[in-house]
Amino acid sequence: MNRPGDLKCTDVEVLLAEYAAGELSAAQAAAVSHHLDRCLACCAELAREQELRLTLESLPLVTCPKRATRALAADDGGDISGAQAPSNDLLGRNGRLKSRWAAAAGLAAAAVLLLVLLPGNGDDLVIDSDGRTWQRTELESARADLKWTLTLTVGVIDRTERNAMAEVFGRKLPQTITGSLRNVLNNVQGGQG
Amino acid sequence: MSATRVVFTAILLVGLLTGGLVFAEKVEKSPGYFDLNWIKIPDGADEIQDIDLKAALKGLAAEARESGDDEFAELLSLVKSVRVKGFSLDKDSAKETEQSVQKVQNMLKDQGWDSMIYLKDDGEIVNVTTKSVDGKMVGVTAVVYEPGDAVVFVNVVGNLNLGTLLNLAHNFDEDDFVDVLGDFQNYDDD
Repeated sequence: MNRPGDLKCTDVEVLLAEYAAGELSAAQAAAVSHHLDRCLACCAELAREQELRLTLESLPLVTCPKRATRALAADDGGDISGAQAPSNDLLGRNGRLKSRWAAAAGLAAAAVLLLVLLPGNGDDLVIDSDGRTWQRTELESARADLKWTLTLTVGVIDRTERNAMAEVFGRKLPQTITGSLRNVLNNVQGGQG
Repeated sequence: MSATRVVFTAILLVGLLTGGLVFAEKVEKSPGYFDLNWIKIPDGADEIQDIDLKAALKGLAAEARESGDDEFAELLSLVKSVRVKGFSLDKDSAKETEQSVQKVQNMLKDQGWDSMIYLKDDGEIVNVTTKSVDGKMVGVTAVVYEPGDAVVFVNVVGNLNLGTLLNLAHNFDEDDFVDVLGDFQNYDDD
């Protein structure tokens, strides 16, 4: 039997999200707890709420991609610090509807977070001149391979003694290469000067 | 799935596949390309470097451009393909590898590659060759063979010259290549 001041299911559902987050006042939390002690349906709703929170908390923490930040800033007229208040039309006439919208919004937020934050999306992609999309991890691997190859190739040249180089270059180096070398040296000297 | 969508998907797939083939064909038909695929990596090799960069070079160039390094992006866009095949040697693979090294050198000679560096010292071989078309360098091939230790074959294709390679290397690790440039500087002064 309900006592005066006891909460109804519709009241509790509105408060469940804040209850799970520990954001209710002591009096409100006690009232919700009292209701939960005798209502299986609301307990189940609380369990779903907690599961959603755990799912969101388990997502990796990454820096928000610049692209997403820019998009948010553009959508919000340049200010991303405060979200717009939801339209009253969305709130419905009773708490249950509001709770459903809240749950739906939570799921939508989770989906957006998964799309934006998980590796392999947003700023983790690079599109080349052919329109092909590359993961940054792929490019890191390619960069390491290229560096290894160049280090080896230039190292092969480096390992030859100066006199041997002079002898080989003096006799056999094609004009196109000697010209290139001079250009490189000029560029380096110009850059340092 | 609607018929239009099926047709569109089929066209897209065919386009992607043939596009890839055309790209691969282009690189392989380039005079600066030297085929290293036939060289067998021994089963017993402890260390292996098997690098094949073609399309990824465009990705790297795009990434460099995105980060504002247009000069590096420009250099990268000149390189069309980088192929490396290197591996450690053991007793079992010594004979076969030596034959491969000799075959590569013969092929380079037959295909008109210009010798840039050739050193042979106590069985160790360092061979750097270049291929030029109309006075422009379009490929570099290097072979480093240390009997009983390791062998590495490198082929770089592109509208490049040695300056391109040095500049690229310079972008990756400046300190390592200052000495190399210094050698050229000293040579120029002589």
